[in-house]
Amino acid sequence: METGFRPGTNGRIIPRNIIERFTATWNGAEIFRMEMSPAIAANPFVSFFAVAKESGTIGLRWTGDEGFRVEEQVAVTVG
Amino acid sequence: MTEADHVKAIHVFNEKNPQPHVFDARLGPRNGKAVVATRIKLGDSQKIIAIAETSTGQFWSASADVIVTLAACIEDIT
Repeated sequence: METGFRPGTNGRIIPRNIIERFTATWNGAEIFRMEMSPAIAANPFVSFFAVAKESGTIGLRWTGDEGFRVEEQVAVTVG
Repeated sequence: MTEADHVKAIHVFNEKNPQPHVFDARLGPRNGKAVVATRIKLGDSQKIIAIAETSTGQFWSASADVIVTLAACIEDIT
């Protein structure tokens, strides 16, 4: 990760490289979203709550600088 | 956290980093409670401010003094 505020050895600012956005969906409907600035940690462990109403799929998507994009899907069963 | 009255966003700011904004969390009634946790970087001891925005247009704020004993975010510059 890079904050975008630090100069490198050549004196030029190293371009920012952070995770900018995290989105959580439940069966396709967005339930939580977070937009982050460079003050976020290199590894921004995020926790939040969600009311489990129906079984289905939780989708998690992280996007960031330099084309960073990771998606995960988790199946949940509500008994 | 009902459809009519819920916290729709929590905004977090710092005092001394080069950029005050830390993160915005967008919430809704599906969250059940307006609690978010994450990890942030601070270069020095300072005050952290959180502002909660409700669906009824109210803003609530709280702050916490955070003591940083050592600036540890010194990564290898290549």
